[in-house]
Amino acid sequence: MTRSALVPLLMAACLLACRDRKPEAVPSPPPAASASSAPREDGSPTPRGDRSIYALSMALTDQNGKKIGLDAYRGDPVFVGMFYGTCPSACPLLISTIKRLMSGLDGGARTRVHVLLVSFDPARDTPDALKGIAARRGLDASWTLASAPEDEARELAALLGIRYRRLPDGNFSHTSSLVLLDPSGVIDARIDDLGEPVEPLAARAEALAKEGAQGLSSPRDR
Amino acid sequence: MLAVTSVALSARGQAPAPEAASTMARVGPGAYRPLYPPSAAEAEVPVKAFLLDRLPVTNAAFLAFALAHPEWRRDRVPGVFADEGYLSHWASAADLGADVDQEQPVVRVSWFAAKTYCAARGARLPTEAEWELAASASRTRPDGRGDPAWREQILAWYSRPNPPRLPRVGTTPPNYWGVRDLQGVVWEWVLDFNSTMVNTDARRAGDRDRLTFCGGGAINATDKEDYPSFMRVAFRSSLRADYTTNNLGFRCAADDVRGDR
Repeated sequence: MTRSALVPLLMAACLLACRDRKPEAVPSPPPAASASSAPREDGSPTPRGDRSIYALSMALTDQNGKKIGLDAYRGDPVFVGMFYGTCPSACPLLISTIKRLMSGLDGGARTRVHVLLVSFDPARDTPDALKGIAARRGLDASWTLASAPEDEARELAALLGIRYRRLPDGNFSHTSSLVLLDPSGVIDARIDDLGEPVEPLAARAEALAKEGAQGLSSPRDR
Repeated sequence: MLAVTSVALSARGQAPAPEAASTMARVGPGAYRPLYPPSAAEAEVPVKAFLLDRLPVTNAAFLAFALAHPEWRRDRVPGVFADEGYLSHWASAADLGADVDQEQPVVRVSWFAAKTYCAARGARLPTEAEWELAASASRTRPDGRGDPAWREQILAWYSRPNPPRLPRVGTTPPNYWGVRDLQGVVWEWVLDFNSTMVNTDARRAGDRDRLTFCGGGAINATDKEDYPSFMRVAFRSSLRADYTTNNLGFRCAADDVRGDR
């Protein structure tokens, strides 16, 4: 096999292998060295180095029917995940995992940290359906369940590194990642397998909440 | 506090423009048979007739897009939408330079950039099923995959190192549908690249699968001779939406408003 044939295979093998490790620490952003991040070519302010996923404009609809943006909780740490309401096993487990995580947070963090779960399935996950899930699972006001137009849900999944596919029977095959965003929307930590320990995520959320409380990064404090 | 601007993947929602028949070909209807059907129900995916660019998007066309939508210039695009290699082969953010041919396929574009380019044209990226359906046609047949000679040709491209200089678009003969360069020039983005899940790691065997994959099924290749498909599956499953590489480009697709006939 020649080099060009091997490269994609190796890339695939590496990424699959890497995903299986325990990346509680997120890969650091690539070094800013190449031509595209070098001195701005037109002298204008550039967001080039900005790693905030809030760059994505989304029209989410939450469980109360309210339209919100992806950045609704800018200024606070947010746990973000994707799911669909009729999912039989992985999504209930995702919710249970986050509940456990949230209830273990220290008091300061519990008042600042939000949960945003976005559905792959806008057709079935209407505000009423989402509200029903929130009630059944006893989710408090720090939780937002939301749906997005299909195309935007795919963009969010792409940003979060979540893979999913609609199956012919209406279910979805998907990876279950849980991502912690810092107050500016930059991915701070994540788990890509719900079997992974969640303590590192909790510790990072508490640290971010503490920084926010000291007024370092929360616009709400201004 | 930074005033972080929200760059809408901007052209979303524009009314589709009627496409000139000459730039897009009608492909299908047909059925895509994935190399690795994730479940029995997905062994054959029906594909409605659709329109597909006859050629990959060129440097010249992408430059025009970047000039009209400056938030997609390489010095302005938010880092989450395109990695450091984005358009880095161009001389500058607004100029291809002497070493880059206008008629070469544009490469070093991320999925977000490709997707937004197509939306700006009132089009979209093709789905994996659509792309594979189009690419399974030989010069004379809608499905050439049973033809050893055709398969040999494709394999020859996949096993050749990248040429130092990409060919211009349109250098390979049109296939059955009138589409060129699906094989033989560059790899291409598809809309649902992030639907490909390869799960063959033994460490994930058994019960743990349920934790990660909701409804994921066993993976068994249907056609072990179809090596090019295997390569594409491997490649797509390795991609991230901000990735750019020197041999990954794209073309656009659109629904066929005339419907299946």
